[in-house]
Amino acid sequence: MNRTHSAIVNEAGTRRQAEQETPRWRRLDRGLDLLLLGLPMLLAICVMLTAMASPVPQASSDDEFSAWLLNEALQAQHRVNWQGVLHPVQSAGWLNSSDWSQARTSDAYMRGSILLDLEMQAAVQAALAEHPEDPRLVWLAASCIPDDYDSAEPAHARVAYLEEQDRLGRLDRNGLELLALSIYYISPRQISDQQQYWRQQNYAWFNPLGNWQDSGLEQERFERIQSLLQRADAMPVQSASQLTTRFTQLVNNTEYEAAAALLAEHAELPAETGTVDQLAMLGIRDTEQLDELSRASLQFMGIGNITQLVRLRPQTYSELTTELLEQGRTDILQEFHVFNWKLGGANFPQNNLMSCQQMLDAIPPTVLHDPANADFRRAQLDCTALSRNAFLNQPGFSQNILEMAYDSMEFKLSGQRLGLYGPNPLWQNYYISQNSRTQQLAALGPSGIEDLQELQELDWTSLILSGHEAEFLQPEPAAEQ
Amino acid sequence: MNRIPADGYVLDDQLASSGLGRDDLSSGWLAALLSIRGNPLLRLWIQLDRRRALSRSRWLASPGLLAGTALCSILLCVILVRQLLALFAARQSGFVHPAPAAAAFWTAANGIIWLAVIFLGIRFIARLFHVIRDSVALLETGNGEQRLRLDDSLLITELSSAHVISAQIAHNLRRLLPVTIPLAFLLGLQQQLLPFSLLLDNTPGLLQSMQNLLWVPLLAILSSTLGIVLLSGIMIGAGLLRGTATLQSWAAVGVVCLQFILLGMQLASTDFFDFGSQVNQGWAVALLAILPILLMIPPVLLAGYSHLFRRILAGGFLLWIGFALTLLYGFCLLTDFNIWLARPYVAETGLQIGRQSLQLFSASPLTGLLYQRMLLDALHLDNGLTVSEQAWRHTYAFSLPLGYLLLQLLCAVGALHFARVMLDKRRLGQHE
Repeated sequence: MNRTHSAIVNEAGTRRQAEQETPRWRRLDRGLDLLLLGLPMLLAICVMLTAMASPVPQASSDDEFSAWLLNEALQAQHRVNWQGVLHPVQSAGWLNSSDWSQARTSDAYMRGSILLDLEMQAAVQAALAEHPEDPRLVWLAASCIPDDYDSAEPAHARVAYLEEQDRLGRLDRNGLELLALSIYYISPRQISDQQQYWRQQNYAWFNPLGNWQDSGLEQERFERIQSLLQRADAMPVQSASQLTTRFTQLVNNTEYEAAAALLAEHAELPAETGTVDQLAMLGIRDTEQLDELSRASLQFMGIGNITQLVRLRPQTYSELTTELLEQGRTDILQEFHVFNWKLGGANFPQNNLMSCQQMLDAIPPTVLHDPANADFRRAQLDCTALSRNAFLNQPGFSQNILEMAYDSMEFKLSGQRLGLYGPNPLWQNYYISQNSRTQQLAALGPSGIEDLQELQELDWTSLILSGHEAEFLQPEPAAEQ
Repeated sequence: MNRIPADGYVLDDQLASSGLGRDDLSSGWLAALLSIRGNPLLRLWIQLDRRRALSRSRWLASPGLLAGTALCSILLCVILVRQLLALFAARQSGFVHPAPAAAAFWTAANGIIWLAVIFLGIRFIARLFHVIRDSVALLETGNGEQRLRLDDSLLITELSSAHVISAQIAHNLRRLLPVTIPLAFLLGLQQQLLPFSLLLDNTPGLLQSMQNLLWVPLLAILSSTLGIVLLSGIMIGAGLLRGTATLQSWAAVGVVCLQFILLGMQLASTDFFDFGSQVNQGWAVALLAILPILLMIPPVLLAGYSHLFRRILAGGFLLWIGFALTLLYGFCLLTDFNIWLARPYVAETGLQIGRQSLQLFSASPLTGLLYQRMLLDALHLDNGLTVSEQAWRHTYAFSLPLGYLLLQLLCAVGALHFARVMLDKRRLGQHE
């Protein structure tokens, strides 16, 4: 039993011993409490209070319309970001209640985008009430009309609205092209799996404008579209982005000469500098004032990124290059090349590099490796390197495991929002498909920018084809016989 | 029993002060439960804990806690300082863009919750280790410094088996619940925040339905309490087998680790959120959750009566079950490897909720399902369902947690019975 009692507590002795040792341990414990728990708590409170007290930014622009739109976007973004506690009634319909499994793929980005849409829609309607004849507001209001994907004719509401505005003479070039595009969408068609996916996400369909003549459109609709586009052609053009719809339609119909003539007619248009394709259509170029999330949200505002929607698929550039080289029409290729580099937007220069790469890759190897065409060979190598660098040289793709761990933790703590230090590339990739224009250009570095300029200045008319005709020219039917 | 110096405690004095007579001591669980406050063993262990707490630093006594908390705290401080500097810099330049400002707010809020969860989680694991070690070695422990030594003669002459076991279990609860309760509320909060952050944002639901914030943690606390009783019962009984205390400790740690890791993996099921439309998947998740208990309890109960099963238990049965379940769940996970590649956020959701399984043998997956029920209600996503479908959803969501808690209660009662039978046999020397 002695062994048992040896462990029994002597309470008074324990207290005396504890009193002697307590101050030292207590001080240490309290110090560590403050350092390890109190300091982060204090910092967190400071961050939260500072964030809450941050004023809403004000955008400025020489153009009154630009200033109004950018300020509305920032105000809407602010409301969207801080209203999180409530679940607004207006957004109740955006989740597909019959398909709960798709809902979990939604996140704060998507929700923010949808709420911003609602806010901007209201702002546009309010502005339209004051200026009902402003064609840019009419275009914005039309693009904000959501597609009804449960209907066989998803764009019918937009078509009806635009037709009404057309009768009142309130459509500019953008409005007429949007009406033509919407009529094109009305036609019943086979929905691909990818389109089905976007349909469930309540997003615009990401199919590029196809070949209208071969699309199975009814004669009446086809003629209506053609007539709208011809009317649009007669209207003035303010920016290179406004040519994309017509250019895409002509190229998809292999009307290369007509497309080149259209571009040559507007050769004086400068390259786009705006970072939001949607707003570039309106000639708004002050979008650098917006933060990444606002820019990304506006990119998808309304019916979605219309210039992405109507822009040529990269493989079409390859096809048209092969065909035009067979005809020896390097002059047309030069027009297309110059126009490609005029297109800006959020995905500049990644998209442009992709299209340029397709054109250069379509050159037959013997032509490309001809010493006389050394510029094109070098351009192809530069294009490959720049495409890789623009994508890979991003902060989130660090090979440093500590940095990756840090970025990951910071991102997780941000509650899947964009962080303070630029968007997380992994999630921006998920959201807007590419890194931002600014980030891509920064990632290229000074020498990369020089290479990019050389690539833009490439002259396709200097491509020497003589001596290599047998490599790519189609044999004459007569010769076959 | 020998008297010891006047400034110390003696067990006889404790018995006298507790008011426990011989009749009381020989009575059953109810008497043990009713007199738990006066249980001398419990009071002595509490005194020993207090003495230990006073004699050393909280932080230095737990190097793991210090290291883990320090690492997370430093990382969080770096992140918050960078956020703060960027906010100030942005303000000096005129304004802060709305999205980064809101992101900074939520980074700070989430960061504090995460730090608290990590701090409490490490404390929980450390305490759990001590609880398992003490329960397994109830009669074997004690080198004279750590713990009161109970020898066989004390057991024969003084306290009943029910009193000894209930004292140990009460002591275990006393040590674990102060960590489990805040952890349950924090994890419940996290569990609520994450699906909402995926769906809507970080905060809806928190203010809209306070009952959500209470129901899930309360269920988790109830389930954890039952889990502690269950584990303690098994460990006390199995630890009485000669020379297997270390093996049983590792077995218990292994099973708890399984609960921690594998529940998260189960919840990473692709169709976790689809329990309404994927009812069979939901049942599979529930079955996987209770599989460890179903596999463990029958041999444990039989070991109270069968020498063969006692040998099986002494041979590390729980440990082998742990390995087998690891392989089983690992196989299940690998067969659905697509989750981790294509949909990492789904796995993250599962692990987020799985962290609730830090609590022993908790009904985490089922409280998770109940939570999803509430989430659906909050989002009004039942539109378009037939009446029978809605009724089935409710029945499914609420009956499973209830059924699981009942099963857990039965298992806990069985484990207590096993511990008592083994202790009685130990008194008679028939435990081997």
